[in-house]
Amino acid sequence: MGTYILKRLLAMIPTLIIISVVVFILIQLPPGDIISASLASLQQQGMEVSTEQIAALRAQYNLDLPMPMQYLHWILNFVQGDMGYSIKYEQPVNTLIWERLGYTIIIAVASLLFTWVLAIPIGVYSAVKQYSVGDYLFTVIGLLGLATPSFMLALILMYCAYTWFGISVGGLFSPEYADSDWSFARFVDLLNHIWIPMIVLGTAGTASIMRVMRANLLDELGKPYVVTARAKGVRPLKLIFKYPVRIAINPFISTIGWLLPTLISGEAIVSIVLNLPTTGPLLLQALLSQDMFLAGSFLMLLSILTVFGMLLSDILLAAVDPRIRYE
Amino acid sequence: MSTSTILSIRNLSISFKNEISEQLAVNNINLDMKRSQTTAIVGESGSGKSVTAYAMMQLIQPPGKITSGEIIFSPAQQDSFDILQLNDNSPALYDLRGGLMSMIFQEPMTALSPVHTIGNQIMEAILTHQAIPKQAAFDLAAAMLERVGIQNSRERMHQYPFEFSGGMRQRVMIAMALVCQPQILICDEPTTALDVTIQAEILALLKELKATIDISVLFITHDLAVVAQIADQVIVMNQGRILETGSVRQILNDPIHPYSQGLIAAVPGMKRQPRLDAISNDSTRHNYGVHPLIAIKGDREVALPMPLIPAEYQL
Repeated sequence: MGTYILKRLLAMIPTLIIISVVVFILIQLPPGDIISASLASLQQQGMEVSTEQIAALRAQYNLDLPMPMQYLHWILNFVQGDMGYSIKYEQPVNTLIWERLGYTIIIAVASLLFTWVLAIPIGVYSAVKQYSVGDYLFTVIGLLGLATPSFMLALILMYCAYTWFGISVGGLFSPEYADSDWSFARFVDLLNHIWIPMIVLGTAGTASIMRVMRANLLDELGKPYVVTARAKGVRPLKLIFKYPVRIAINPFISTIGWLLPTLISGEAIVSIVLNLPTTGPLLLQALLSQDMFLAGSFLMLLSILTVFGMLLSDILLAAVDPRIRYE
Repeated sequence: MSTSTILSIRNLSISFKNEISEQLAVNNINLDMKRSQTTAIVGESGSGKSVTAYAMMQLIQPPGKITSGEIIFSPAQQDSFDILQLNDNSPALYDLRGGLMSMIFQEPMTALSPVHTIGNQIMEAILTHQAIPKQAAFDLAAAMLERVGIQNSRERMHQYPFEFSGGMRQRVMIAMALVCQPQILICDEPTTALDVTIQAEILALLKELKATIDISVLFITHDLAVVAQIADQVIVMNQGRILETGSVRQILNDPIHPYSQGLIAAVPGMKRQPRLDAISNDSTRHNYGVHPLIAIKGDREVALPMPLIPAEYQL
């Protein structure tokens, strides 16, 4: 297992190098760059910028170098942990991203827990009591959840919370705690705010996981090993959770890794609607304004998380399924 | 050897229902299993033989349903009771499954959970029925594995089913079925999925175990060669009905019912021979007709109208 993981880690290096080249080409593809974009707006406001100033600016960001050199500058700094400087936000990319990433992870984990805690038991129930009233009820609710756009649900929840309870639920903190240091009161304030994004982001996932769990489990329930266990006299509840659920849940465990990249890109629209300080809206802005260091860093981080996520998935799958472990 | 009845099925009917139709898989059958003997149920696919066995442990799942009948079980040192009267949640039903009665299945490749160790699965059978420490259950399970011919049982307890061959898995199934010392062992085509040499090994093992353990066996198969090797009593089933019962010698050497005769004639031999006769399903349905089982000489029964039974057999 150890050598396997080591091999996989080594294999990531060429993968990531190729991805970084592609990312760099992609962010350079649109005509113009951030300098010309900001120049245009400056000139619209009637300001005169001399060609020397422009050249100096370009030199500052290495934009005057040939493409391969630009790439090397960018990637070497990136590897050393310096992701460059965001021209639009006038801040180092590191500060911009890390600050938001923390909140993004909190929200993602919370909504993931919400999804699983709700979806897995419902899926199990729906499969075990197939075609019962409860199964149909959950199916209808699940499909409704699946069909409702998340941002719509976010708007509705915000409206309801505001008109009925008088609480403003945008953002992750009330204004008085927004910039304060961490304290217990701030933590409670976070809990008061986090439930809306948790429900909004969790609902869509709940519906699909519920349906997949139901289908997986229905497949497993008819397997001979289930009959064997019944014939052994194992009690129904223990039987269902020890055997078919244990196997039906494997595909989900293997998808945990894929969730890593969505930590960054996930649900940008919901985050904008709910005014959440997460990475999604920032990524969108970076792409729109051709803020190349910010966008490039985001895309690289996404790729790294994807590649690591795949490895994590494989390791988790091997951990839960002996058939894979021994190959 | 006592020849009392350990299990008797009376008027058992089992139906499978869907939106369109209802199919009687087992149609009002009566049968007795003699204590400490091996009773074989023979029949083609869909004759209702497996369903009958599943009913004995209340393992029939919807859309299957037991519509009528009783299955009287008379375990040693216990009062007899009707298995079908046991409630879904009754402790007695869970004592029965795997405790008093256990089952070996056709497909050893899929009948074991792929993600649990052999040891885990055998120990579960023990711990479900006996309140003993885990270590004791481990020792018991390992000893049982040795007993069914699996060497290095202590190491193999920690292995997964995919590390065993088909024959070895079937041995594991047998160990798991016998580890709680049941009084009835149901073998649902245990050798059908195995190749012929392994089949012979498993049959030899079952016979060897049968000789040393006092147990009543219900053996379900469509393979008459297997029946000849292992059975004491034979029950011939077709289309959910019992057509003939008798001792293994009576049925194999001297079948009375045309269907039994057809079954035996359809066994291919080693010698080059003309095309085997097929048993036409139409003939089984129409020509034989539906008749109650009639007791005839030699403690046998056959489902034929009196005039069709040769006079020398009539009581």
